[in-house]
Formats: sequence, C-alpha cells, structure tokens
Amino acid sequence: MESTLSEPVIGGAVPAPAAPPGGAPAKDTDEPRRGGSWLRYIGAKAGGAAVSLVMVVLLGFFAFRILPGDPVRSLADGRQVTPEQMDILRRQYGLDQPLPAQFWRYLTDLFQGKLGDSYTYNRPVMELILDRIGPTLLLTGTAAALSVVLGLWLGQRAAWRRGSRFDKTQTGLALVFWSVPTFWLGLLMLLVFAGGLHWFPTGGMVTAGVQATGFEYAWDVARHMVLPVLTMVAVVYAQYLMVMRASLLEEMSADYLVTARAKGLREDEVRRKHAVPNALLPTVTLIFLTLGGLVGGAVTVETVFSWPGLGYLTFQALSAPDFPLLQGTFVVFSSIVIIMNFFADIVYRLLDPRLRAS
Amino acid sequence: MPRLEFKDLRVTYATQGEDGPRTLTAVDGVNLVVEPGSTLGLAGESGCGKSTLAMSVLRLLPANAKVEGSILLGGENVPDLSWGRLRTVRWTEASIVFQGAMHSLNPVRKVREQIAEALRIHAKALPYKDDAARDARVAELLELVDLSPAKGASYPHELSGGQKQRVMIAMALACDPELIIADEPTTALDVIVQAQVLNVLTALVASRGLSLIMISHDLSVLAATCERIVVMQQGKIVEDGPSADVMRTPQHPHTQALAAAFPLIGDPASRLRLPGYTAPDAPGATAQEKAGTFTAPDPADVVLEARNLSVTFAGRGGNVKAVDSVNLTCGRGEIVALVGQSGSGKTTLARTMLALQRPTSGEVLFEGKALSHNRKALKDYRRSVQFVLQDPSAALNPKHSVYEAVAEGPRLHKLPGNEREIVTAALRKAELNPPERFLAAIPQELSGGQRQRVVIAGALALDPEFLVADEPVASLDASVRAEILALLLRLRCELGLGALVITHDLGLAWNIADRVVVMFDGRIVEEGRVEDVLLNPQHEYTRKLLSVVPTNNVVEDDASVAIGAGS
Repeated sequence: MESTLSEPVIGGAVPAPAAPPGGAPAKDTDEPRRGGSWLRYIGAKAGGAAVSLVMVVLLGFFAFRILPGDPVRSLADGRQVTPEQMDILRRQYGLDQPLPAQFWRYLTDLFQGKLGDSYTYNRPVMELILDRIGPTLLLTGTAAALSVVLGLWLGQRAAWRRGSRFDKTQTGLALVFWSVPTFWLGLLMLLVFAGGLHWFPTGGMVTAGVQATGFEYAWDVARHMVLPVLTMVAVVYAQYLMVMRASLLEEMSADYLVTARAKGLREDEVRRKHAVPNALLPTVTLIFLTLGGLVGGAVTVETVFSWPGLGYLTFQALSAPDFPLLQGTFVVFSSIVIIMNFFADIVYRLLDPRLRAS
Repeated sequence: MPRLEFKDLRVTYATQGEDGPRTLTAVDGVNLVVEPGSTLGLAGESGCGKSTLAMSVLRLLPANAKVEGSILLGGENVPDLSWGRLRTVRWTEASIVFQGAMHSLNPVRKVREQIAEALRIHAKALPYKDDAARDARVAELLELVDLSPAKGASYPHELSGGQKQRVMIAMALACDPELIIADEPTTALDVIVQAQVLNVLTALVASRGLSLIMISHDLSVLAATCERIVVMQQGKIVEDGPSADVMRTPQHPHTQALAAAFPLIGDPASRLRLPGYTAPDAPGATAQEKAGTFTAPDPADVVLEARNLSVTFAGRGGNVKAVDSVNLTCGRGEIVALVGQSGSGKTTLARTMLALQRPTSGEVLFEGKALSHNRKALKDYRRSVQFVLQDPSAALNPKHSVYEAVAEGPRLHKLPGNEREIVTAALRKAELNPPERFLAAIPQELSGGQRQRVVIAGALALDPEFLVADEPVASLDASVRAEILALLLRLRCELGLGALVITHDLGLAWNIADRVVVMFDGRIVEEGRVEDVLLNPQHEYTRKLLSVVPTNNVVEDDASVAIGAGS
C-alpha cells in the first residue's frame, strides 16, 4: 500500500498553483478584505439616534398644539371663572405668547433640563417624571426580564422538539395570551386573585398608611408587583417564544450542526453551543426593540393596577388634558425607544462577527 | 481487516408524498471494501446516493433514514454502536471534510475554537489534555494546511473559500483519524483554489498513510487524487476499478456520460460537439451533420460591443476597479466565452453590457449605436439582449407556472401575436417537448435541467438578437450540463443566436465557443479563437488557468501537447 501511495496517481498530482516559494503560508489569491472600525459604526448609529431625538422633540411640541381644545378652559372646567382669571392663567403658563415664542421657550427650557410646569399638579413636569420613572422601570424591567427568559427558553425547547406535544401546547398557549387585550386580562387578574381570593393587593405600589422600611418595604412592593408583572409577561412573552422558535428551526437544518455532530458532540451540546448562539442573533434585535415599546405599553397595565408610574401619569395627563405633562412623557417614552434601538444595533454587532465587517 | 466495509447496504428514506407516505431508496445494496491506506473516489450525479453512503459511516443520516445491512468501520458495525461509543468513534476513527465549507463552519465562532472543540471532546483518548496543548496542536494543524496560526483567530466569514476548506481539512485531521471522507471538497471553488486544496489534502493523506474516500461529480478530480474509482447511479454501484481503467475505458454508459461531460481541452472529439448534438462546423462533422442551412458566424458583423469600458466601485480604503478599460466585441451568431476566476470582474462586465450597471467611463454599443440610458431605449435593448442566470432554481419565481414565467417577457414588451403560441414556440425551441406538458408546471416540479431550459425559453420568447449567460451550467449535473450546452450550440447553429457566456470552466469554452476572452483583475489579458488561445496560450494567467484544469490524459498525444504548452 505504501508504495502505491508514494507514486503519482493517474494523471499526476494536480499541479501546484503558482504559490510563492518558501515555508511561509502563501497569501491567497482570494483573500477577503477586513472590516470597518467600531468608532465609525457607533458614530453613524449615534448620529442616526440623535436625528431621531431631535425629530421627537419637535414633534412633541407641535403635535400637542394641534390637538383641539383650550387647555385653560378645561382647567377651569366646572368652576366659575372670569375672563380676567382666564387671562391670568394664560399668562402664567405662557399661552398668551405667539407660537414661535412658546416654541423658543420650550427649547431653551429643554436645554436646561426643564419640561415646563404641569397644569394639574402645579409642579415642574421634570420633577413628576423623575418621581414616577423609578416604579415604571421596576415594573417593566421585571416583566421584561421574566418574559425574555421564559419566551426564549420555551421557544428553543419547542423548536428542538418540533411538532411534539410540548411544542403544540406551549405555542398555542402563548398565542392565546398574546391575543388577549391587556386591560381585560388585568381586570380578570384583579377580579380573581385580588378581589376573589384576596391573595394580592388590588392596586398601588405600597399599602396605604403603612410606613414600612427595609425588608418589609421590599416585601410589600413585591406583593403589589405580582399581578401587574404577570399581566405584562403573559401578554408579551409570546413574541419572544415565536421568534426564538422560528430562528432556531431555521438553524436546525444548518450544515455546521452536522459538522458538530460528526465531531462527536452530544445532542444538547450541539444545541447549546452551536444552534442557540446563532438563533439568538435575530432574537436579540427584537428584544431590544420591544423593550422600548414595553415601557410605553405600561400605560394600560399601570392604569388598571393604579401603579404610580409613568404610564399612570400619562393616563392622568390625558384625561385632564395636561399638555406640558403629555409633552414630557411623550418625549421620555420616545427617547427610551430610540436609545433601545441604538443599543440593539450595538449588541447585534457585538454578537455577530459578520456584522463587524460591514 | 479492511478499514471500512459496506455489506449489502440499503438506505431508505421515509417521505411524505402527495398520495401518502412513500419510501425512497437512496442506497440500494452496496458492497464496498476500503483497505487501510487506500484512496477511493466515489463518483455520481446528485441524488445517486453517494452522500448518503458517506454520511452513513458516522451515522449522520436524518431521522427518517432506515439503514439495512452492515457498515464495518475498523471491524465495528456502525448501526449497532451505542450512542456513547458512536460519539467516541466520530472524528477519532473517521472524519469528514464537508461540502461547502461556507456553511459547515459555525459563523459566530472563531475557527481556532472550532478545531479545538474536537480535541476537547475527545480529550480522553488524545494527548491534548489542557488548553495550552490544544492551542499548540491547533497551530500545528493550521500550518499543515498552509495557513498561518494567526488565521485561527478569524471568524469563518473573514476567510476565503479556499481557506475555509483548508480549515475544514485541519479540523478533520485534528484527532488523527484513520479514515477521511471528503464530500465534494472543492465544488464551488475556483480552479486555481481547487488545485491548491486538492494538493493539501492528497499530500497529507499520502504522508500519513490515511484512507481517503473522495466524493465528487467530477471524474477528473477523482482521477487526479484517487487510486480507485467507484461510480454510483440510482443507489447502485455501476462501475468499480482502478482510476486509469475507469478513465481510459469506461464500461458503463453512465460512466461514459460522466466522462464526456468534462471534455479534454485539445480533444477534437469534443470541439463544437456534445453527446446529442454536433455543430455543422465541428472538426470532422459528417455530411449528415453538415446538412441544413448554416452560415458560419462572422465576427466582423458586431452585435454587441464594449468600448474602453471601466467600472469602479467605491469601497473602504480606496476605489476598486472591477472592470478596467475593456474592449470587447461579440459578432452575430457567435458564442464568446468570457473566462476568469471569481473576482476577475467578468460578472460586472456582463452586467454593465446588459445595462444593469452603469459604466464609470466608456460605452456599450448595440448594433453600432451607443446605449442610451433613457427608459424607452433601455426597454427595447433588453428585449434584444437577453440574460440567462446561473442558478435556475433561484432565477424562476417558485410560485409562477412555466407559462407565466415564459409569457411575462412578451406581455411586458407587448409582442404582437397569440401569447400562447409565442410561449409554446419558445418552449419548443428550448427543447421542452411537448410544450403542453410543461405549461402548468411550477419550477419545483421540474428537474434542474428543465428549469434552466425554462429560463432559456423565457429569453427566446422575446426573439432576442443575442444572449448573455452567466455560468449557465455551473449549478447543474454533469449529464444535464452537456444537454444545456448542446442547446446553446444548437441555437447558435440553427437560429444564428450568438451568446456571451461567462464561465470559469475552460472545458465549456472548448465545447461550444467560437472565441474566448480571458479576464484577469478587471482587464482582458488575452482573446482570440478558442483553438488559438487554449492550445497556444500567450499570457501567463491563461497558462496558469490551463495548468490547473484536472486532466485525464486519455488522448495522450493531443492533450499533452496542449497541457504541456500551458505549464
């Protein structure tokens, strides 16, 4: 056998391409080019985000000026006011100025971190928002973390055992929850677990009249959080499940999984180390995009459960209507979405080495 | 004891047909012995069962496959192995170099990690216990395949096709297996890169005394690398013998068809001649073949011309000149082959001539008039010069019937006459007979060759003056390749329809082209009559291209002259 091997096989060995001599590996003729820099990429994406922010600020001012209704009249609603008093109110809120002047004031205030004064609360909008943003982040952050973990885990299991009973029931259940209106599910939860069973409080973030501190305070907040968080998770986890399932299904027929199996990996290693990291890529973008939306979506849940957050504040501002407050929450919600998109771009590039080339 | 032995192996797939479950036989009673240290080539067209046979060795077949008979790998019967034992056997006793390294490497992990992974899994059986030892081994493996160890830190997309395939080879060698199975290791690679990869693989196999099973549809690749060739058709072995005998005197008609699909450059028996059709002006055409009205193409009657054409793409780190001051003429009824390796600018040139890409400078002339870029003129031009794409499965809308696909052009250009008649006539010209049978079919129901005929029929329906075809047979099987080339040749001879055929396949040029144009780095480095350029190449690059075409040396006298002149 040895001798036949050393002989040139029929037709002669394929002649070597004209590679440069010497031991050093040849520079290949088909060498691909290297990718671009992080700085450029982040610069471009941050620029885009900044432009969107400016647009939001402009829109935030003008959108609420075209709304019908006189804010001063609705403020005085139900009370006897003289035209003089109305004028005083107008002057107080700067509504007697022409539109460009109002806009200029809005802009200069914005640069000093001010968003004007709320009509209904008689307090600076910025203060109100800073008060309420904590509870909202707590609520939506918890709900987001839970639904991402739950959705991704169920999604990859469902895909790996496609067509099994697990797959069918989990996908079905998730889709049912997704289709349910948020406020209805919230009311149902309240009715059953708070009203009927008395397991959880009906609303708010802390029990009224109790001055708890430390661990007791945390426990009180946690009990109040259960129902709103469950409602939010139930409504949103389906999209993570479906995207994870779909992208893993796509990866499951990929050739590199055969390579991994041929190397002798166990089936769960094939899934964990090779299939899931690839399937996560499209999912990550979606997660960041929906996180921004989740904060905005808190309006319904917070209102149903009287959670003292930004959503509830928006709801109250809407029913007044309190334009500076609406304007403020609008800018904040939109900024969160834009910032999340920016993060999505960065994380995606971190995760996918192929994007670093473009 | 043989390294590998198949005993009466049968593999069937349970599939869901239109009328209930069906079983599909992929491998049908194969008996085959691979001795230690021997090299075996497995040839056949897609669907003949050769990949199924290879995958069965490591039990990598999908769940719907049923294996009967035995596969003895180093004396152990693979179907009987426990999962634990199977995982140990995988990669340590036999490893696979997969087809298409592009997809066979995990895109989000560095290649170094992917090679080291194999070492880590089998750490028990190997002397590479810790990370340092594994890193050293990975560096050693990369050097074996002519890659610098620094390349290990690359992700797959940062490597070229040839480099990726060499990473696969390094990975296959990682655990020192006794048997390497290479499944179409060089398909989709350029001729020059293909030669490099084959060299690395065969040298390593020979120096280590490994057994090699090489799978390919290209007999000449197998002849150049293996001692013995086995030809499969429809799951059965139809020919088995030493490479020399199989190449010189193929016994089975299928082997003969496979061999004919890769013509020997310089062999008059394949010049303007294909199984099934011979051009009237082929050397040694019989009187009967010469019959009919045929006027030899006149290169002076120029239909399509590029004058001083340049295309520059703005890229990071400067501009890239994809096409650099190119002058090219295509005569009426003339087939011009534009050859070059990928990245040479040949596709950009073709796209520019089709006015799909604007030139940076220079102009394209059709029948002596410069192309204007106004919409009306472009539309007329596109009716006259039709485009045939590389992959018919991707070029056809999967939801459109054949009728829709072919009728779309005439409808768009408001061609006079009965639409149905135009479509059936076009299908008939593309040799889809009887046309009525194909009208309602959707692409999925057609074979690869039939799909490409539909694409060509779509072009013919507009009664064009000229065709531009980008790698028209690169994605097709060997025997289908010959049929499609015969069709293009017949269109040239019987309808006087010329074509600019873009290809990396010099054999194609020898088969059907009148003239050949060689492109390198955006420039045309050589052009002339096929016989002149391919048998007596002047430019160094043309010689290099010719030198790496795997040859079978059947026609000793002519071919050796041809190849000798090239190297």
